[in-house]
Amino acid sequence: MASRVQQHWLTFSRMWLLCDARWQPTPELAKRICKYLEGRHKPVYHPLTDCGDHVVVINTKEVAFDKNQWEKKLYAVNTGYKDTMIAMSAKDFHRMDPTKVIEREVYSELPKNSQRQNLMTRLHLFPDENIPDNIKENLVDIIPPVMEPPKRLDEFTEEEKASWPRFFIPPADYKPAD
Amino acid sequence: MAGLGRNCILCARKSLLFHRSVLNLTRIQTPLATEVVVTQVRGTKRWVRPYLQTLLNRINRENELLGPLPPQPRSSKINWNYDSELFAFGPRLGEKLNLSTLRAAFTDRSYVEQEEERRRDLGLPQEDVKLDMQDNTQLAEQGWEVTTNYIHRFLKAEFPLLPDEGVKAIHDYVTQENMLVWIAKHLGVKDLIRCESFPVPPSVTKQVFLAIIGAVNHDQGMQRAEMFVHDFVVAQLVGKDVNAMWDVPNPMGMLAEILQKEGRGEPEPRIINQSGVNTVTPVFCVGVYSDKELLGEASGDTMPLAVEEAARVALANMFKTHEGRKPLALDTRLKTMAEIAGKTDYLENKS
Repeated sequence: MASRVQQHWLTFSRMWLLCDARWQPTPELAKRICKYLEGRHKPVYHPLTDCGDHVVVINTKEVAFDKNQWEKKLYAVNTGYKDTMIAMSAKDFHRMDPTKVIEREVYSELPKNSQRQNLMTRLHLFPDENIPDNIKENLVDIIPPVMEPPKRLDEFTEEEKASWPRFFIPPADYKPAD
Repeated sequence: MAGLGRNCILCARKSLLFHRSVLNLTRIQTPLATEVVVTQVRGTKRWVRPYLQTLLNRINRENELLGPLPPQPRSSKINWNYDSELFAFGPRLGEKLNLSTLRAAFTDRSYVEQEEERRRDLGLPQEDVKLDMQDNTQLAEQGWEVTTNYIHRFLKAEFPLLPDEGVKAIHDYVTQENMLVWIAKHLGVKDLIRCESFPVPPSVTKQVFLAIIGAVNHDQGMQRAEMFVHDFVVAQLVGKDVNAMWDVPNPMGMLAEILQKEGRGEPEPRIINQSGVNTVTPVFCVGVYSDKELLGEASGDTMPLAVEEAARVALANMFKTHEGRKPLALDTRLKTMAEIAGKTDYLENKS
C-alpha cells in the first residue's frame, strides 16, 4: 500500500466509464447511468463528496424503447419563441437529434437538486462509435449493460442454426394446414 | 484556558482563581475550615452567569490593555509542596525511585550554578559555596545510553530486513527533541524541573526526561529502565508511517541496486490502469515488476510520481515495513521480559 496521501487520491479519483447503448431499454439504462454519475456505486459515496464518475455513452442512435413507446411517448420541445410549444413523439425527437432521448431520460432520473447540471456535464453522448481521441484516452472501464442485445437470425452462424435444439423435426413431405 | 476557553464561562472559573486581580482577593478572604457555613439552595442561580461574565470581561479588558499574563512557574502559586510532588512522581508512573536520585534527575546544571553564584555573592567562604547538590548530567548520559541501545535492539528485532539507515531514521524520529519533550510534559515533569530560566527550554526538559530514565536504571536496574523506554518512548511508534521517516531520494535507484545484488531482473514499471489522462485530475496506477513478478503497486497524480511511489511500495514490501505487516510487538515483548525477570507485579497492577 502506498502512502496515505496517494491512497486518498486513488479512493476519490474520478473514473471515465464507457456505456454501449445499443438495443438497451431506455429507462433502465438511464437509471444505471444516473447511479454511476452520482457515484452511488462506490462504498465511499456521500452526496456532498462529489465522487461521481464520467460516463461516455456510444451508439445512442440504437437505443431501444419497449412496445410502441417510440410512437406513443411524447417529448416537450419549447424554444420560447412564438408557436414553438411542441409535443414530439419519441420517434421524431430521436430523428431530430439521436442523443437527445437519452439526455432527457438521464436528466429526469437524476436527483432534482443543484447537482443535476454538474452531473449532466459529466455525461458525454455520441450517436455512434466515433469518439474524439482525447475522450477515448481517458476511458478506464465499462458499465455492465442492462441486457445483452439479442442476436438477429442473420447474426447466427450456419453451424449454430444447425445444432440448435428443435422440438420436433417435421418429415420431408410435411405441409402445414392452411 | 486560552483558545476556546477564553470566552467560555465554565473555563473562566479556573482562570479566575489564578488571575492577578483575583488572587489577592482569594488570599485575603480565605476563611478557616471551622468558620465556613455552606448553605445550599436548590435550583439554577441566575446571578452566577452574569457575575462570572462580568469578571471575565474585566480580565479580558485588562489582558487587552496590559497584555496577557507572563507564564508563571507552578511553584509560585498556592498549594504547592515540592517534596510531596516528587514523592508522588515515582508511584504515578509505577516506579519505585529514591527521592535523592529523583531530586538529582530534576536538577539542571544551570540551577546548581545559579545557587552557587548566589552564595558567592552573599560573601560566603569558599568551602561553603560549593553545594552538595547533584545535577542530572551523569544520569542523563546513562539514560540516553539505555534509550538508544534499547530502541536499536527493538527496531532490529522488529524489522530485521530494514537496512541500518532506515533503523537509524526511525530511531532519530522517536528520540528527537520534540518527541521526548512532548512525552515528558505529558508525564508531569514540567512543574518539577529546577532550572535557572523560566519557561524551561526544551533541551533542559529533554535532559531531565533522559535523567529520569537514568534514575530508573540507577535504582531499579537496566531491565526496568528498558521497560520504561518501551512503554513511553517506543510506544510512540504506534500508528505512525514508518516508511515516511526514512527519506529516500531515489527509490527506483535503490530498488535496482538491491535487485542487482540479489541477482534478480531489473525493475520494470508498467501501467496497470489510468483514468482521465487528458484531464486536470488524472490517476495513474503503476506496478513495478522484476522478472514478471509484481513487487509493488501504487497510484499517482502524474506518471513519474506514480512510478516513484510504486518503487517506494516495492521497497517497503521487500523490507517488510508495508502497511499490512503484523503490528508492533509491544504487549508480547513486555510479558516475556516480565516473565524472564520474574517481576510479574507490574502486570498484576496493570490489570
